[in-house]
Formats: sequence, C-alpha cells, structure tokens
Amino acid sequence: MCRRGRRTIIRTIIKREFLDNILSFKFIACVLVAIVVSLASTTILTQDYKDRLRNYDKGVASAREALTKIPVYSALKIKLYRKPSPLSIFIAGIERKVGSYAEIPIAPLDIPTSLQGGVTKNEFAAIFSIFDFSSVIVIIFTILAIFLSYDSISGEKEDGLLALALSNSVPRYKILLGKYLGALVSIAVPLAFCFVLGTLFVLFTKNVKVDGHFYLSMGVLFSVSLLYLSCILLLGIFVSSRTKTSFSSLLLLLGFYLVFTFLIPQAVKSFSTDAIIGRAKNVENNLGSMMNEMDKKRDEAYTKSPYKKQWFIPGDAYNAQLYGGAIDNRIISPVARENRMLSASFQHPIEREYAQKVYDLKNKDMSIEEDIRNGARRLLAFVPSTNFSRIVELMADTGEDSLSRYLRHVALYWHEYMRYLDEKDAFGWRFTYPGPEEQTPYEKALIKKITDDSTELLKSSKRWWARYRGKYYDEAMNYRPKLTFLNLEDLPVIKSPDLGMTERLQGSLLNIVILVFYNLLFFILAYFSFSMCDPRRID
Amino acid sequence: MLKVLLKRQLIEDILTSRFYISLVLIFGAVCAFALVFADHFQKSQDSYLKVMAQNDRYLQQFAKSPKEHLNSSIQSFMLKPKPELFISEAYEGNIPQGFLYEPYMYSVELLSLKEEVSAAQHYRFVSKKENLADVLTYSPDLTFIVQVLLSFLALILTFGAVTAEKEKGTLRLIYSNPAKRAYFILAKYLSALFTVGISLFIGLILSLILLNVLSAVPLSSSLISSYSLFFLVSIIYLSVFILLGILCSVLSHRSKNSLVLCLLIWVFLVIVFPKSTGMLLTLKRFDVPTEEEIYQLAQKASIETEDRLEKQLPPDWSRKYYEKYRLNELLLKFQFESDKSKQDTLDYYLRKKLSAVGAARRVNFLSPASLFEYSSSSVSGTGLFHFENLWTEIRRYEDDFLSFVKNEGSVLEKGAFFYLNYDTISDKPLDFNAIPKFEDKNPKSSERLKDALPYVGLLLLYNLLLFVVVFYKFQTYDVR
Repeated sequence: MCRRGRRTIIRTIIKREFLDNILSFKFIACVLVAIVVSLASTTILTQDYKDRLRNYDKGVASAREALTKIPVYSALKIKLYRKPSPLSIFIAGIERKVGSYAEIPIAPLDIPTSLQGGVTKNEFAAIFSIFDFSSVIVIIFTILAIFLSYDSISGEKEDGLLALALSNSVPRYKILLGKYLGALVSIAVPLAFCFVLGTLFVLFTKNVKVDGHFYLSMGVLFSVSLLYLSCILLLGIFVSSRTKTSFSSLLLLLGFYLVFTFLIPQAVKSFSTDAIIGRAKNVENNLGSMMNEMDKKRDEAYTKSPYKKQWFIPGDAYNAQLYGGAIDNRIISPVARENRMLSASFQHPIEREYAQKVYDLKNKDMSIEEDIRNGARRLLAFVPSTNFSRIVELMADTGEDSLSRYLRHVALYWHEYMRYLDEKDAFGWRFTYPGPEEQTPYEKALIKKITDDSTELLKSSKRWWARYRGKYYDEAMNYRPKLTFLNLEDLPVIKSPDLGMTERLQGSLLNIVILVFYNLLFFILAYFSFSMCDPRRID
Repeated sequence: MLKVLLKRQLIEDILTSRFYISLVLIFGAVCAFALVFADHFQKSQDSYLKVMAQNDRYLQQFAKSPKEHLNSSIQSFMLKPKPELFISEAYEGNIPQGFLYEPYMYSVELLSLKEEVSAAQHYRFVSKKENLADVLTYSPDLTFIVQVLLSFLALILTFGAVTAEKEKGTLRLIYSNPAKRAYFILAKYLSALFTVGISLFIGLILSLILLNVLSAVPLSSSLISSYSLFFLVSIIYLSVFILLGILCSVLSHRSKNSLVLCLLIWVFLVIVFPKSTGMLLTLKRFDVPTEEEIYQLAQKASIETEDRLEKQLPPDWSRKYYEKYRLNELLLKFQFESDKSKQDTLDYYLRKKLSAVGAARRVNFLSPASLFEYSSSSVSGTGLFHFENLWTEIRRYEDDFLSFVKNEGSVLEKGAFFYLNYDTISDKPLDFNAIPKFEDKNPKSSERLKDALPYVGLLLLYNLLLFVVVFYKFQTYDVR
C-alpha cells in the first residue's frame, strides 16, 4: 500500500506537470515552430543529400569510365569521390560545403589537401544559413526547455501552490523529481515527434537507402539531445528555486542563453580563427621559395644529363586534345625515347620529393589549425550548447574531423598509388609514349626516312635536340595511329575511412561525460536549493 | 503632462538592474568584437595591399614593353577590407572575393577559391572554412549587437509597460490625474527609445575610440558618416521592438505572460525567421548550373560564335590564314567576338545568381531583423552591396583601361589593343603613372543611403503600423 502510494504520487506530479505544460500557449507555439522548421530543414537537406548522392554516383561512374581510356600515364588523373552520409540530413556539418572529390594528378605530382567540386550552385547562397536538427535543438528546444522550467518553483511559489503541495506529506525530493520528469517527458514528446517525422520522411524518399547503422545513429542522436535538454531543464529548475520571482528567473536564464549560445562561442571562434591566420603561415612564407628550389634542382639535373643528339616531331596536338596529358608522337626515334627516359629518371624523383615536401608544408599549417581548433573546442566543451553541437557532429561524423580523416586517407592512398605506378614502371617510356610498344613497319619506315633526312639538321643544331620540320613533317603530324589504352583494373582502391558506432562514441566520450556531469551537478544544486527553499508566497 | 510622465519613466527605466546588466553585456561585446576586429582588419588589409602591389608589378612590366608583355596586363581586383566591416560584416567573407581581369582575353572572371588562395589570400581560405554560415554563426560586428542584444534590451524595457503598472496599481493612479492615454504611451515609447538610444550611442563612441586606440582604423569623416547613418537605421529598427514590447504588454493582462509573448516573438523574428527563409529558397530559386557547367556553357557559346563567323570565310580559309594567325585582322576580330560571347555568358549567369539571392532576400522583408541587417550592410557599403559595386566599378575601369591603351587603325572598339595585328601593335613604352589604376572606392553616403532606402522605408512602415495598433488597443485597455 505504502509502496504503491509512493509510486503514484510521483506519477501524479508528472501527469499534472505534463498536462499543465502541453496545454500552455508557450509550449504549443514553440512546438509548432520547432516542427515546422525541422520539417522544412529535413525536406531541404534531403533534397540536397539526393543531389549529392546523384553527383557521387555520376562521378564514380564517369571516373571508372575515364580510367578505361587512358593511353599514357601522364594523362592519368584519379578522382576519388567521397560518399555523402545520410546523417548529414540531420546534422549538416560541413559535408555539403567542402566539395565532393579529391583529385590526384600525376603531372605535376600533387597530394591533395582539399576537396574539389560539389553541388553548391550559387556561391552567394553562402550568406544564408541552413537549419539542421542540431540548430533546431540548440535554438528552439532550448527556449522551450527554459520556458518549461523557469517558473517550476518560483511560479508555484507566486501562485501559492507550492505551500499547498508541501503541506501534504510528500518529501521534497519527490516533488522535485516529479517536476523534472514531468518537464522532461513534455519536452521528449515533441522531440521524439520531430525525430520520427524526419526519419519517416527520409524513409519514404525515393532513391535514399539507409541501413541499420542509420537508425542506431538516430537513436543515439535523440538520446544525446534529450541529455542536453535535461541539462537545461535542471539548470532552469535550479535557477527557479534560487530566485524570488519567476520573472527574474526567466530573465537570468535568457541572459545565460544569449551569452552561452551566441556571445561566448562566437568570441572563441573569432579568436581562434584569427590565431590560425596569424600562426599558420608556413605555406604563405615558404611555398614560393620551395618551388624555386625545385625548379633549380630540376634545371641542374636537366643540364647535367648526358643526352644524345636527336630529332623529334613537336607534340602530338591531336591526341593531347583527345586524352589530355603530354603524349608523344609515335614517330619518334629510339634514341630520342632513350633521352626521354633518361630525363624522366632524373626529374621524376625530384618532383616526387617536392610533392611530399609541399604536402608536409601544407600539413604543418593544417596541424597548427587543428591544434588551435581543438583548443577552442576543449574550451567550448564546457558550454552546454556548443558541447552538444560537438557531440552530435562527432556522432553523425559530418564535421571537420571526418574531412581531415578522409584527407589523411587520401594521402596514405597516394603512397600506395605511387608504389603501384612504380611497379608498373609508369614513369618510364610509357609515361608519354602511347602504346603499343612494338612499332608498325610503316612507323619504322617513316622514322628511318626522317632520320636519314635529318642528318644535316642535327649537325646544325646547337642543342641536343632539334625540331624536325622537313619534308616528312606533314606526314608525321597527320599520322593517326590506333592507340592502345592502359590496363588500370588493378589500380589500388581507397579504403573507406568510416568509423563504427563504438569508435564515434569513444571519440565523443569526454564531451558526453561533461554533459552528464552538468546534469548531475545541476540536479544536486537544484535538490539542495529546493530543500532550503522557502515555499511561502512573497507579497 | 507629457514631460512629467517622460521624466518619471526615464528614471524608472534607467535605474533598473536589467538595464545595467544589458549595458554591461553590450559594452563587453563591443570591447571583445573590437579586439577581434582590429587584429583581423590589419591582416586582411596587409593581404589586400599585397595583391594590389602584385598588380602594380605586372602593370609596370606591361608598361615597359606592351608588345612583349601583353599577358602582364593581368590584374586581380579584390574586395577591399573597409573599416565599415566593423559596423556590418554582412557575410562578406563568405562570398567570392573578387575578379581576375585579363584584357588580352577580354575576360573578367570570378576568382575561384583556389585562385584566392594563390593570390596571397591564405587567410581567406582558413576563415572560409570556419565561416560556415551555420545558424549559430553571426559575424562579430555592431549589427549583431544591435540586431540581437539591443532588440532584446528593447523588449525587456517595455514588456511590462502597461501590465506592470497595472499590477502595481499605479496605472489607475495616473488616470486619476487628467492625463491623456496617448501621452502615457508616448512617454513610455520615448523613454524606452531614449534609453536604448543612449546605450547604443555610448557603445558606438566606445567602439570608435577602441578602434582608433588599437590603431587599426584612423578616424575619418567618411567613417563617422557611416556610423551616423548606422545609428539612424538602428534607432528605427529598435523602435519596432519597443513598440512590439508595448503591444505585447497591452495585449496581455500579466507581465509574466507579456514577457513570454515578447520572447517568443523575439526568437521568431530575430533568429528563426531570418535564418530559415534563405534555406527554403535554396530549393527552387538557386537553380543555376554549377561552376563547371557554367564554364562549359561559356566555352560552348564561344565555339558557336566562332562557327557562325567562320561561315563568312572562304572555304579553304584554314590553309591560307592559319600560318598568319595573330596577323590576320579578320581572325582576330572573330577571336574577339568569341571571347566576348564567352564573357557575356559568364556575366549572364553571375547576374542570375545575384538576382536569385536578391529574390531570396526579399522573402526576409517580413522580418524587421533581416531588414535591419540589409539596411546596415547597405549604409556601410559592405556585403553583397559591396560586391555588386565592385563589379560595376570594374566595368567602368575596363572602359578606361582599354581606351587608354587603344591604338590607331583598329577594327574594334573595345579590347582593340589586345586584338590587333601583332605587327601593328606599337612597342612604345607606356607611361606607368598614366595608366588608370583600379581602386575599390566606397560609394558616397548618399548612394549608400539610396540603396538602403527600401529597407528603411519598410522598417518605418512597420513602425507606423505598430504605433497605430498600440495606440488603438490602449485606448480601449481596461486599466483596473
């Protein structure tokens, strides 16, 4: 009997609070706004996600197609497309703004440090912002939580109801718990409604496929959101029990809201951005001199190499236009080919060395940037709203961390790719000479004719090469051989750097612990201050 | 009577703790923002000057021997960082930073992010990544302080204008005197306006001094005129919120309800509405081709023009003319026409993009907060207004530059020098000092005001409307 009674009293309080809340004007207004905004944001971001997915599929297909039509290695250009995540519909992060693929060119060698492309159609649209679930929660639901809790104690005190409630033989902590749980339930209902609505919308959208991981993530996102809102509720109850009037409690809470949601994060962000600009100057200061150094080394190697004097037909404009890259004319003397290979063997290591050096330089700047950002984040982890945004960003894996992890993988892939190219001897004769290797009798005859014709030319030339423009020039230029394409089917594949749920949880563990700590802290504070609170009305 | 009421109200407004707290908040924000801005402004100015110096270096080379260095006439025109950015940053860091001008190709092209980075603009790259324009990102400028903080103060000052007096019972006392109702409301309104205005005024003076002390920005008459225009616009904006606060108070019977109503309105008008309408329009209005597609379209247009013109040539033209390429005037004219049609296509899409953004902004006209944002960006000449202005200035400069280098005996009017028979281009050195130089000037304050006029007009309209409603409602208000 006693047991049942105890249980029912909390249930009664929760029920009363719940009904009280959901029938108030402020609740209905806030929930309506929240539903409208989250529905609009889901619609728009789903459309955006579909666009990106289409772009990704198209890109992957065309990249595969392009790989089958590469006559020489110098025309090889790999595009690594990054798969968009369906979670970016709810936690937009920076995924939709940073581009869709990494391009690895071969001439000149370069390790990509940023993504290219994307479906941002109008650059000027960047002046508008996008509401996603994280901002709906931080802005609208936080206000709702404040509205639900600011008068939970002081309001009842003003109405004189608190004294009445305490005149029953109910322990105070039960009243507190009842109020807290009542508010939590009344905020959890619209929150769950928004989440379910969003998920259903995505589910019934054509061409969007989601897996079990998506549902799990949505569940985790919902729990984290609830944890954050509970923290705000407890803060509200605590403030409410400390202040004399509900009016001053509301003002105080809104002051906190303004300062902690807008002012402090903005100030910290601005300071960290400026610190990054001030300190990440490696590229700005050293890139130019590094490039000059490389040019000098290359020139030295070029002049020192023991080339043999030989003629060549300048460029194959026709094929270069068709396939891109530097493509030799197949009408080339064997000696000139040897010269080419010799020059490549001198120059290629230098290029590769400097590609790595430039990457290191950029990486140095990026790691400085990351250090400063992480410092700012550590600071902002103590602000509940930014802490929450950070957690959901880590959970959805759509933020900067995800991007830099992808780029690190691309850099790793680059080394693998280079190993592959070395195995295939891609920087040898096949770099610019279009196959097949065996020259046709016609070609051999033509080369012989030109060689015979060019003895005079070679004698008069002061350099080791001479452009042949004699009587067989037109024939050589208009010669359109059938080219063979490289077999690139065994090209290494980039491993998708996606994190599993446990890894994501591990990454954001500290932030979650801080959020839990806040919950406990505010609960204890609310408990003590409510235990000491004077329930009488002040007139 | 009005005087007495006003005096009483003023004392009441100024001597409250909420006013002091807000004041501290505002001054703190001004100080923090000024510190951030001073540093940032100097860096961006350095970077801008670097780009300008590079332009000068190229032009000097071009002036020395124009024929040899046709390509050195290349210049990049960037948005100049203005001290007015402290008044309103207006997401200027998020939009494209300028143009690349290549007169020998008759081309004025938008700088892509990559080129910006190479144009000694590394800092833009960094800040762009940070500036996600997410909902919680505001630019740390005076507009934010007025738009968010001071509007909040305005509501806090007025939400209890009528209800609090009623609750205290003083409202009935006042009416036992022969006081007109209109005077009562007017006194409330004017006193709140004065209180908010004075804190804004002090904040502005403080920021001017701070910027000057931090040696970032020298005091100039143009800056002061921008400041005063901004002050005017802010007062009109804040007046809307004061009237809204009074309206809420008149509509509700208890201060508590009035405050909740005020806050709901504030959250909706200041944060939710202005930040979400642009998003709604992303779906339809921004339906322009991507950058790559536009470039392909432009290429296509130029090839089509070439094909069209080639029909005028004799059938065996290629053999005859090809070797004399760059010597043949007709071919050069075709080249020019094809370059021009490419440029026209690019211009067409840029205009389309800008007008799409303009249309999206027009939906936001319903919210006074957005109206204020736009008008303050216009009166300080930053943001999109700055960009559009830069574009027109470049067009003007292009004419100046081309008419300066124009040679005799050309078949073309525009772009003549660069599309001349190569042999007939004179190799006479040009006078570097006489070459017109590009300068990104801030338009006159009257022009800026003209651009802001529609927004300010709408704000005034809101004021009037609210005033009438408040006045009418209060006439029938039950004072008991």
